Amino acid sequence: MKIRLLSFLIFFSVMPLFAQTAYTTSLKTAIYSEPSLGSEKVAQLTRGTAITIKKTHNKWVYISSGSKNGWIQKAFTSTVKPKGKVSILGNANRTSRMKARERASSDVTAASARGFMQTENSKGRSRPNQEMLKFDPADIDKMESVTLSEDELITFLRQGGLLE
Amino acid sequence: MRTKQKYLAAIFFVAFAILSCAVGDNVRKRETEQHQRVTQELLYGRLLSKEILSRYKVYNNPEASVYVNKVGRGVALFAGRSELTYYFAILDSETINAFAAPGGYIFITKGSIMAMENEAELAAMLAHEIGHVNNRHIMRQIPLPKENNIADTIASILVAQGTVVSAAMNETVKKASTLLFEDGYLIEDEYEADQSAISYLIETGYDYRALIQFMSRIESIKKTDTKLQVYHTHPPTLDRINMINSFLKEQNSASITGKLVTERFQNFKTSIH
Repeated sequence: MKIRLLSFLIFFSVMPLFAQTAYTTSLKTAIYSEPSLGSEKVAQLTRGTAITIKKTHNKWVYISSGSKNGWIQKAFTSTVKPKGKVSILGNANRTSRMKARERASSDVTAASARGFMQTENSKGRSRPNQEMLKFDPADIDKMESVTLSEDELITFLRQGGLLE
Repeated sequence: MRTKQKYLAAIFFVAFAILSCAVGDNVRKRETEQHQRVTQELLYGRLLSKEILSRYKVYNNPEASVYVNKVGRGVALFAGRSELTYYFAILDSETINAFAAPGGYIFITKGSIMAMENEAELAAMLAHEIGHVNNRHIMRQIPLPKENNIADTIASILVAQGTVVSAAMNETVKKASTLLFEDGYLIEDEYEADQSAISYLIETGYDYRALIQFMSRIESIKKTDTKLQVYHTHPPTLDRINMINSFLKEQNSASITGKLVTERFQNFKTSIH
């Protein structure tokens, strides 16, 4: 009898290790009553909530998380717990990066002169390669320099009457 | 009997410890693999962005750029890939088009913005491009060359030396550039990006119908200005609209409401020249 009890203990202790556990990855993920966007939203999960996937249906998964059950979109789940942004900008300071890009820029120009790339003007017609724009490395830096916190984004969305 | 129980208990604890370690190792392995995959994606996207910016000038209007980033990143909060930082830029072009490079580099033309009537339409176009990024359409169609430590290689190219790109990598970016500017995505990938866009719009609270409204407007612009380059790399607009409508029917979406956000968008639009 005790051996059976111990076997059950072993089985149920080890079981959770193999359950299909995943995490939600959107800021907030709606749980739906059915696997469709038009069905009732029954609850919401915050990013990084652990969920157990019970079954799948097309691009939807039926999950449970604590007392909450229902359907969420598979695209908003991951088997890896969200741990912030991945960045490739942190390994060098901006100045050295910009210097590196200045050198890269001259390569692009040279490549275009050799006919490496085709280009189009604003009306979609081909242009001779020598009219290729000179890539300005500062453009990518400018693009990457726009910093907005999550709070700023949420405030912006709420001001627009969104997130309701 | 007591010895037997002790023996079983010992087996239980050892098995539990081994399995816990194995699961822990598996989690760490998945985390490391994801980090490497995303790093490669970011580097690929940066190289391709360079190609895009060799064809189009960036529209220099910092305030407009911040607005577009707020809309795009706002939608991206509800798009499921929290490991990415999305960067949005306006291209100084009168054409109606948008481009996405892996890792979250997204470009929209000034002409597209001028053809829009509300923020939901802008959100829809950006959401479509986010859909291409999140579904890794370029990377699936034109994968990175299988080289050892490719991420380190490209990182050193971009960050440290800035000069040498491996022949294989050069070829990959060239193919991706052809996909963006000439061939276009696979039709099924366009449809998938549309479906993703609708889902992101609904989760954020925008009116998803804006996607169809904007596409219908593109169709009428095409008829009146045949010389204007409008989404020439995308499948026929009417086919896309039909596919979206089928998807919406399948999702029982008729009762879903959302916001267009017109006034704020019109203020932004007046700042665009």
